[in-house]
Amino acid sequence: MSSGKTVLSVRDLKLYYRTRKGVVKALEEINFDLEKEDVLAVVGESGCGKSTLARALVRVLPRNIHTYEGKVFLNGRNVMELDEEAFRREVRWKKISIVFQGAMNSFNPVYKIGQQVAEPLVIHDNVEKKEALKKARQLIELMGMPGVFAERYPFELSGGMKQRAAIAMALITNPEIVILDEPTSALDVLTQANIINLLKRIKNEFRLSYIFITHDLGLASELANKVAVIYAGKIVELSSADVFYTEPKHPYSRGLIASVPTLTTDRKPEFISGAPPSLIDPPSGCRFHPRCRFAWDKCSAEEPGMIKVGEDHLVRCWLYGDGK
Amino acid sequence: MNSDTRLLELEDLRKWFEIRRGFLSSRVNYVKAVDGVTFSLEEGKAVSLVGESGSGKTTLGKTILRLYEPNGGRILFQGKDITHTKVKDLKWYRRMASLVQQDPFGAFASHFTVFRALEEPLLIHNTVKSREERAERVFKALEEVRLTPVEDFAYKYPHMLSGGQLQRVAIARAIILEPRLIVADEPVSMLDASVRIEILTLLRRLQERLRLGVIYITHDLATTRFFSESALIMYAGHVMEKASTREVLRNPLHPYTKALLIATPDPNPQNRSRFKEVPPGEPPALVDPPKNCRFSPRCPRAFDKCFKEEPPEFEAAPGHWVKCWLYERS
Repeated sequence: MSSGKTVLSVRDLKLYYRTRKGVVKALEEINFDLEKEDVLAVVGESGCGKSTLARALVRVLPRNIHTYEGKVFLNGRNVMELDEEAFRREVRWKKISIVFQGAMNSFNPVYKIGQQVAEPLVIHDNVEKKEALKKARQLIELMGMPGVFAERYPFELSGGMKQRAAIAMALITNPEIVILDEPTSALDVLTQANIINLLKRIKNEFRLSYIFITHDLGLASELANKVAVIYAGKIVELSSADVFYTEPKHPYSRGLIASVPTLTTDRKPEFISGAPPSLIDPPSGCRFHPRCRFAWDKCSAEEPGMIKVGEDHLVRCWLYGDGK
Repeated sequence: MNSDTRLLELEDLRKWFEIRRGFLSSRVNYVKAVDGVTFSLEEGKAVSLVGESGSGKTTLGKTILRLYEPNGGRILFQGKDITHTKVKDLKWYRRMASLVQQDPFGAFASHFTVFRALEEPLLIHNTVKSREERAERVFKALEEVRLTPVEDFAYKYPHMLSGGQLQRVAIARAIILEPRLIVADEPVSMLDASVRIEILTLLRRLQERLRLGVIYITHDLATTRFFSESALIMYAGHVMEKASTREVLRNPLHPYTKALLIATPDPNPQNRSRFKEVPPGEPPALVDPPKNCRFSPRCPRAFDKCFKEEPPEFEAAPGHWVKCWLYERS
């Protein structure tokens, strides 16, 4: 699977927003490594900070930032130190590109698909327009569509085709890492399966690493070899997919897995009662304790750190390690 | 099956939408959104209508509720023919059959409190005269959907509630007139995975307790299993397969159903090392579709006959119907 070369390392990434009601602690203590050809699935409920993480990594952020700090090493170099212009020139889309949630609906209706797919190349690499269009056409073909679709307008394509075009757009600058933010959430099941097949194929072909953001653990298992479960702005479990799906440790992870209805087993799906907390005033101690079946005094008093429970398997929970 | 317990029967139901190309053109085309659906639902049972977007499942739901008037076939509700009943004579049916929509955020007037939104159907149908009694009914409905303590929720506005909570209010509104049938149109597709199960479990419990008929419209096969007795698989306006939910999932017969089952993601770390064998392409346009099997252009097992003639529904096993030439008995 992974070749052992670390392409991205995130250390203590923190992101706070300023709002009228107070400071939103959107992300805290985010730590993970991504190796070449890794697929890290970031899973959690809405409002847990998944999309914020995606945006923080490519620095596409709203204006009301309160705190944005930590270290993000891209091939050993801390890109958090780069100023906006250098980041735009050297990192965003050049090294890390992103397929946004609902990207298929964000094409400009008055430009042809090919022009829009080619645009990052023109802007980032100063490639001649004609040259860029040619490359766009090639990529569109690689996505399994006829090259002539480059000459079509967005309204002439179906949702699945537009999503393919959005992926082509993310690949055109030859990035090393592609962030996929719910890339199939509005698509039909069969179309979704076709897009997932496509993502697998191009990952192998281009030797890409993905950060795959989704709330669907079933879908996550289609691509991921690593899983990060995020809850209320913090990673609560980080593990290889093989271990995670057979032996999830954190009560939240177990709840998430139990909530997936499966076709292959007779297990009845269960749900986690309650809802994620407000990140303006998160619960004391472990942020999951108000919803946790196993919580005891310590959980509300003191916040657990990431506890090592196995080879490459970390859990933020007092049930493990010397906590109990 | 005892005919006394039949809540709803559809016979060869059709809903075609007329479209005219050009302003003065006399040429009329039809979008055949629902094209010949037959099935029946017993009191207190749930049926899943499964299909992708454009399969006609929502149109079928709305036609059943008589929000659309069918172009052909029959709808019988408790044995009574309501196929072409005039809208003004349908008020009793509005009490008997209600709808839960997909988008809970768009389902409520923003200036109505939860209490007011739930009181509305009671006022419109004027079934409960006194104010106190209405309040009682509203609180009871909130209790049924587990929005407790009810006083905490009754006076909130929609924007103060989460998607899951709003969907519970929508269910409360759907049951407040004590209907016999609920059409739930993708009630959980906009919610988080863990909340989905919570809402479906609630709906299932209400269905059993109040002996409601439920038509659960979904694109997610995996959720049908624990929440319905029978399932209809729809594709491009046709019912491709129908049987008990268990049978459809255990022993799918139609190539389309099989493809859907393969495409539905199951959590398993082995998935990442294999590609899924799913048919390429997309569902056909439904404007004057050809008279053949509508899945044939994408079907891996299609043969000559499939491209020429539309298959009837074959009963491949007792109670297991499939609209596919592969199951024709020679």
